[in-house]
Amino acid sequence: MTTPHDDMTMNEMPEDLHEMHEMLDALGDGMRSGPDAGFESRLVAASLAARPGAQGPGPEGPRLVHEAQPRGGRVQRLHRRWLAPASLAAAMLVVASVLAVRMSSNRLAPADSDMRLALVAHTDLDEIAEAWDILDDQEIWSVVSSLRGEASTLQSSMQGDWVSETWNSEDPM
Amino acid sequence: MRTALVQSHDGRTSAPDLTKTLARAASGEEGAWRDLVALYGRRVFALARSRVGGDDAAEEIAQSVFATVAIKLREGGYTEQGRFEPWLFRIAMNRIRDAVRYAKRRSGTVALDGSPEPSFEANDGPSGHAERVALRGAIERLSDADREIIELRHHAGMGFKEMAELLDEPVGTLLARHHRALRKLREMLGPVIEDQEESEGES
Repeated sequence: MTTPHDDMTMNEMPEDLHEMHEMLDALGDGMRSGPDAGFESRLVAASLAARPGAQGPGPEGPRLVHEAQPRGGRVQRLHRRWLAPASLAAAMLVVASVLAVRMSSNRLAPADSDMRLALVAHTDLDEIAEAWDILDDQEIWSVVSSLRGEASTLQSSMQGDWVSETWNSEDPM
Repeated sequence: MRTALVQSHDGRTSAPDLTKTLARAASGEEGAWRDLVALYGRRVFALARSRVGGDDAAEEIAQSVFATVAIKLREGGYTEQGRFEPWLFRIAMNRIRDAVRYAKRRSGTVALDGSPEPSFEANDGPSGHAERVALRGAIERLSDADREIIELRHHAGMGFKEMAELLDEPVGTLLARHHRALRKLREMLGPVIEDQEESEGES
């Protein structure tokens, strides 16, 4: 791929490194000639299918190794996962408010009888139980665990040492 | 309509042609995508193949890169200023990095560098094969910074000017890094090269 005219590398390179340079070029040529003949068609199909509003290649189309997933998808996925705990928190808030109102009204109005007190307590317990049913422990921990994993991935992506920080942005340069 | 892109001697496309091609690609013209893929597809693949194990994984990355480019071009997320190639390879490096980290997370080890040797030309003799295996092994032992230069330069086929834009470093610095990396590889492969020279001398 590279040639002696490319930049100034070969001209300024010590003689003993020419051979190494050529070996690396040969290795690169081999890598680039690796894919089969349909490689380009699949890449074109993937590109066209990825455009917003585009149709997929269809059953007769070339095989796609990868379904397009733009980088923003991770952030959107993270947001979606936040919605579940947020809605659960909102549900808890509503239930707590109802309970608080009922309990305060009970305190203000003296109980007419033990039967009424028992009825109120029973109703409240039912509501608490329903709230706990909504708040499935396993589901919560699954969400929390998933979020923790995503956060860890994002953090490690931002702090990676393989590529420089500037690479984290894919905005046009 | 499909127009052939003009390539210079070093394989790069002249700016006006690329600008037109990108505009056509943004409008979804298949011919323009064929041109872009012809120019960059295998170079992106080679860069990915040097880091991830297997042709399928490398092709998956290449497709992901071109899919991202398609979306960004369509949405107007890229304005051609003669920096398409660095931008494209920045996306590629990000995808490769994601894939490497994903594989590390799943397996607990790198498990990517021990991948089978990619297929080379049919006329690649046994000594050539052994030499390339040794060379790949030596590249993997380089520091990340040195390896990055070697792979961008020789696998992705990038020029130093484009690499400088991509890495945000002066060309002179990259030239020095490239020489240093070559020197290290030469030292690591010294015995292999000498053996080969001896065997060639005997035959």
